[in-house]
Amino acid sequence: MTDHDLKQGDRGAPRSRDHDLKRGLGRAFGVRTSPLRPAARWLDTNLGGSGLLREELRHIFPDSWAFFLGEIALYCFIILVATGIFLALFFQASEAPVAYQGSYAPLHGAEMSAAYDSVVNLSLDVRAGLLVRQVHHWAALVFVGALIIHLIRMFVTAAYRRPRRINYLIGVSLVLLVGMNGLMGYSLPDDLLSGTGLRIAFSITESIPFVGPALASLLFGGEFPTSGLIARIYPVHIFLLPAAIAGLLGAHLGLLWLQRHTQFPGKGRSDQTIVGTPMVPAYALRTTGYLLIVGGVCAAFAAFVQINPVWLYGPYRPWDATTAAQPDWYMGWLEGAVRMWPGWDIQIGGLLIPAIFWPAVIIPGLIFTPLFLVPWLDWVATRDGAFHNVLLLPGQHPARTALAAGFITFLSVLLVAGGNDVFAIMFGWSQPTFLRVLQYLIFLLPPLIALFTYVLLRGRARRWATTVR
Amino acid sequence: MSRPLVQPRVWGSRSAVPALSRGLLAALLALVVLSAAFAAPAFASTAASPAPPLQPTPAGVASPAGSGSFTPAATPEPLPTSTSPPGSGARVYAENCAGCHGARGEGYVGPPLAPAGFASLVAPMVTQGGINMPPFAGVLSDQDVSAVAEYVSQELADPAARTAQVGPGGDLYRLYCAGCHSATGSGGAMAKGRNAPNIRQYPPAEALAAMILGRGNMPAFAGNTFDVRQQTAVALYVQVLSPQPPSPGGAGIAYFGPVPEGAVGGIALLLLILVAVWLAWRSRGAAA
Amino acid sequence: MRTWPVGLGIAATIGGAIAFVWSFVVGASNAWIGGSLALALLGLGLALAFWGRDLADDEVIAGRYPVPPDDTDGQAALATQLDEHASVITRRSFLSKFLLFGVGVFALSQAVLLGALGPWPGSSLFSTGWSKGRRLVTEDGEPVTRDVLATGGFLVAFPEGGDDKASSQVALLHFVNGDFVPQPGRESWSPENFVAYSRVCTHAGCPVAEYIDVDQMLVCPCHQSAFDVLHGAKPVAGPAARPLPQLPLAIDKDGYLVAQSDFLESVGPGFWDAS
Repeated sequence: MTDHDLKQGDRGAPRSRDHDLKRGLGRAFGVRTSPLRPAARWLDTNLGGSGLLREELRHIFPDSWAFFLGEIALYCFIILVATGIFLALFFQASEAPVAYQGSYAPLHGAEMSAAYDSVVNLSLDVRAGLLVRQVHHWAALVFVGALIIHLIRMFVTAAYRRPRRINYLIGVSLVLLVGMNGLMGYSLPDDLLSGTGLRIAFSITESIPFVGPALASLLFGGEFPTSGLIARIYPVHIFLLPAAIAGLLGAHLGLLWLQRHTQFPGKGRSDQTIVGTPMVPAYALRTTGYLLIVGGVCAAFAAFVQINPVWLYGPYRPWDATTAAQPDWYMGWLEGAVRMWPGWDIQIGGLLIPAIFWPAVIIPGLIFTPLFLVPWLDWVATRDGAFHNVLLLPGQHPARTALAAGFITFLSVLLVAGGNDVFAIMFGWSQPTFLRVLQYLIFLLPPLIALFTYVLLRGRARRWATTVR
Repeated sequence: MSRPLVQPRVWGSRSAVPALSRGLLAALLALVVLSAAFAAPAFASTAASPAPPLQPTPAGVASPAGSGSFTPAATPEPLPTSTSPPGSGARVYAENCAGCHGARGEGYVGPPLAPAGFASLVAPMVTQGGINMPPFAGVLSDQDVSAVAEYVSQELADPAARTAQVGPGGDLYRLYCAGCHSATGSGGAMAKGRNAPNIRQYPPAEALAAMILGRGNMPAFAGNTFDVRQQTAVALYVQVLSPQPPSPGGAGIAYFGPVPEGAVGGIALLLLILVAVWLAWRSRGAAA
Repeated sequence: MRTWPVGLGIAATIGGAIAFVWSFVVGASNAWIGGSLALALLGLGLALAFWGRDLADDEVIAGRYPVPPDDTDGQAALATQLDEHASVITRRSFLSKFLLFGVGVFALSQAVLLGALGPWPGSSLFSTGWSKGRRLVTEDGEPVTRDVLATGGFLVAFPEGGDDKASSQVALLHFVNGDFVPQPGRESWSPENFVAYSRVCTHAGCPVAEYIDVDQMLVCPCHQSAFDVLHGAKPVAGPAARPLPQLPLAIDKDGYLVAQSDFLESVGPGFWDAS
């Protein structure tokens, strides 16, 4: 194989099939040649760069199911933007009190904010309004889940190594921004559940030593509850954060395009040679299909499973409360930390550090800081600073995978603790007992699982280092 | 209550009648209404007039829940000679209650009875009395009390007034009840291993009894926190939530909020990952 | 390639699209509108995915990664070039440092705009709507008299006038004689066994809405902090650390329950200079 051959793209398929495809297209349109030809010519005449486009038509994407996880996230983002535009046409970001006059009798006469009123109106009195709202919310839940699975995949396959360290940083930043945007999004309807969450967010902010009360007052616009809070969250949720996400996402995809996607080890693959599916037509078809499938699954769930029924929760009033008060699942780990941490206030002279500061501010910092530093921590551990385009299989490096398993276990226990009262009531357990069990598990389980994973993989380390089909 | 409370708006019902005809029709209708308004007093003054339609006095309905104040009706309705069989609720009512509450429960010295939705709330009121109401414990037998309670809650109660109570009932529910029983009535875990039950599973009478008397870990709300009107309002709201809260969005998944919703979201993600596995599968290995 | 799955998918899309339009126009339920939309999306998606999957199965190509492995020479050359071009500016040592200083000062100065976002907390976290002689009222605005609340009951009360309702909310309890143990120095705060505690949880600020009278506890529904109401609302379970502040009560000459003053501690969750 000469270099020249590789550069053009070696076709593994017999030429005749390709020929048939072109002929078939021509026949389908009833012309001898495809109408794509004048289109391509028009593009080059008015834009230029036909050589570049020619190459990129056959841009190679390595194949594995694990490489679709980022696509789930990307397509959820597209769905969120599309449905979000619809929602924004109805939502009123105002806390001005209005008396409900819609069709839902149990709220008649109740005083609520214009924001809550607009969301109830959209849900119950606008055709397809509830569907779009539910697609939006389901897509948000799946979005963050896909991001986390995608991040786990990056870690256990060591995709963050040179030259993809910066792209990895962009990715972790995206997780943070998306989580924040989700929190703001479900707080917009100003219902009892999300308003309670905002109250807790205020308490967490003011718990920070020295700057806490001032910072909370600045961010929220005064002492909670403030009358402009929803109006302040709104532009952040529909513009500021989505713009930042879109920008970072563009950079993320751009870098991915330029550097090409990593690949699993296999026959004919190396750090220099990439093997996979060409962009046109196979990959483009597949990925477009996947976009529609992601949309279809979100729509199916939105059609048949109710999510966030704000008319049942009622409008937020600071003296109303509901049990089973949790944030959306991706904030569950933070909620769990807050519930598990005992009431250890620290009083030093006149200075009080409230107990909630540690689980709600310090622990998230301890979770995210190492995440950002992973590429350099990896270098410290392995002293491997070389360029890599081939991934590691999870079993090839048992220590890394065991660490990931332990970390995921830690976060999972926190997640379960975040909903411990709901599990208790659903299964008839004693809530304090269950919480106590989780408090022990958080220390015992992660190291156990990590050790178990390590032992399991070390024994099979050799078997994993084979070609992946 | 089987009557659905969520009524989707009818959309886009444009009349086929052309505009000019519509205008003429409207004018005709206005003429009829105006003449009726002028002629009405003539009808009202005849001796053989039918009973006026059951309308709660504006003061009675608008007065805030929890207050004992009300404005009595302008003129009392004359007591009808009761032709109901002795011992029936109607007879008991006519002989003991109509003097204060009006012949049709529209209110006079006593408040209007239109919002009285539940026999199990009326009965204790009758036996124990209220703020200005004497107790009838020694006067009426238990049979009479339950008969008149049934009569009041079935015959005299006005569905419109009851529906008007549901909103305030919801407000009270979220202030006092949702903290233990959750906003959807699914129940919740409290401290010391105690759990507040799912209140949607109980028939209204039992839920009311628990609210009035207190039960288990639940404090008594009657006489302490809620007066009869408030108890009715809360009970009516709980009825709205039972057996399942209004769920136009689909399956409710246990009505416990974001926890089960997150679990279901995980199923959606899993589904998509399985699709990805299917998508990326190759019948032949990667060739070079 | 078997073409029938693709055809079936497209047919499903068309059927779904028609059903979607029909459901929308007749005002069908969310399940119909959403289900038809899902069918349309999934139909086309699976069709394209199936077709693409089949094509991908046939075509596997190889190419070259464009990013060269470690190019230390190139790295050094880049660094040298950058240094060379920039040296035109950096060789003017004082001026370039002065430039940097000026830019830094300007950038920092813009931070003051953040101060426009909200007021300085001031005394807002240390005061509520309660003051001497302020009557307790219920959610409807009805003043609370000694007759309203029998023993064993509880009410949610606010200061008359509605100032700062959120942080002023109290749980008013009425104990049976002998149950309540006043805190030292606060014996005069609970006339006729009426006791009022702040309802804002000292953990994270949720209203402490659950009253369990058999255990005489106020419990917060958010994180299950429990407060012993007979002994100064001290936390006995859950993550709260500080007791609920008690409101000094009195009964005025007309029989109304009134506050003697504002709370003596700051209400709600703690912060660094909380009292």
